[in-house]
Amino acid sequence: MKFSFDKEWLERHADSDQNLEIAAGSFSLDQVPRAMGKPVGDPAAEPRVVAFGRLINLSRRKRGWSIEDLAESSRIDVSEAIRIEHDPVYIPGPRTVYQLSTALDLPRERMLQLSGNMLVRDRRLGEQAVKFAARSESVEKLSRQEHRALEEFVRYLNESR
Amino acid sequence: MAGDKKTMTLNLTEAEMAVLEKLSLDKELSKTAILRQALRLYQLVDNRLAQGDTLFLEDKEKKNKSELMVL
Amino acid sequence: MSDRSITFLKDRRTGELVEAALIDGVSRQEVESTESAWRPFLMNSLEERRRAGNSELSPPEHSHWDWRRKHEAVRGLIAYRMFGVECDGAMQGLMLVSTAGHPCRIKEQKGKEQVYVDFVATAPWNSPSLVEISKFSLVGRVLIATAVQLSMEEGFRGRIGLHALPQAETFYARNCGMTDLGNDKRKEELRYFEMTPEQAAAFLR
Repeated sequence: MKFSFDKEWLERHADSDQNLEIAAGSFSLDQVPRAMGKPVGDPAAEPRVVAFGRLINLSRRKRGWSIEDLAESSRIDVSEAIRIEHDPVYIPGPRTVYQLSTALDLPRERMLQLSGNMLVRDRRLGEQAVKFAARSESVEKLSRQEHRALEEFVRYLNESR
Repeated sequence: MAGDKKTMTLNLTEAEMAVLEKLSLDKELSKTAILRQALRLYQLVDNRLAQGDTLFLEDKEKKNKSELMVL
Repeated sequence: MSDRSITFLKDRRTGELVEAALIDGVSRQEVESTESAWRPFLMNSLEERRRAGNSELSPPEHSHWDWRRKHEAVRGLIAYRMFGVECDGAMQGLMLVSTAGHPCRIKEQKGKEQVYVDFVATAPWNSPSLVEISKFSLVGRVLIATAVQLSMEEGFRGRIGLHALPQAETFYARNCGMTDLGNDKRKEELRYFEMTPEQAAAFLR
């Protein structure tokens, strides 16, 4: 089949299309699909998911953001943001994880692994996640201990492998 | 390949023709286009069945899955 | 087997429109050479950025796609069509579409047939999330215009549908003027977009 393209039409839209991503289809191939909100059956995964919620919580508070601010920046529902931070078995879907990673400037692939969406290829992640979850607590302002715990964990996540 | 077209004459029963006409109206497609869609879908389904997969339909409330075809 | 049509891309260095080829029916060989060009560039860029400690640009969300596998998976299946945009001796974009099996969801056209974009991507050197300045722009527009024209040729009146990766939502919502039907729980929560015949006409105007 032959297709036709109006040169003037293309020229007219070139500027507004610039700098926009256009990909459509699906996420990375090695992702393990999970149903939304399905409880984690595998006990080894739990500390990771807890660490994920805690990481979101501390990263948000470090920026001085409310949960509404986080929901707005990541373009997710406030109710989901609350669930992510407080429900220890809740696994958000991949798009939500991507949006949160962007909003909080955290490494996406690690976040997908932490959140239970992707297979974990690095056993250390589990150990570090447990350590981080244990050291962080839920209080209003970030304590110095929480600060340090958060920085160390984020540094580890950003490390090149 | 995409351009060359071959012609075929079809003999359909009244019931089959009625189905073809209704689908054509509902989908706002010519009868030829309906048959073309049917062929494309049939090949897709057949391809998966040949690989050993099973075709299921799931009801709206996601309560029951029933098998559509067995090979 | 394969058809070529003339199209144009914008060369970002010169700011000029340059002639490109829209390929209908990308061959196995063309996909192989595309992968051999795209993958090393992608890997090098990611490695360079990691070394420079640059976390500002994030990798494209589809960097793990393998177009050879896709090509192989749909070989011989008449419902699928694979398109490519070639310019400056290299493939600048690829798209795989289905012409059956994906009926429309928008209420006014529910159940009607459409062209569904299974996958579409631009070359890594054109990707804004990977490089500071893209080599070519308009790849996405050319491919979507192709899908719309195919839809019209099929009698689907320009209707198309797709699931956008998060970084691409703006392009489909704003630049293509498609209807946003929200996150699809059955498709990795990706946002599902659909185009009506009216939107298709407006897009091509």
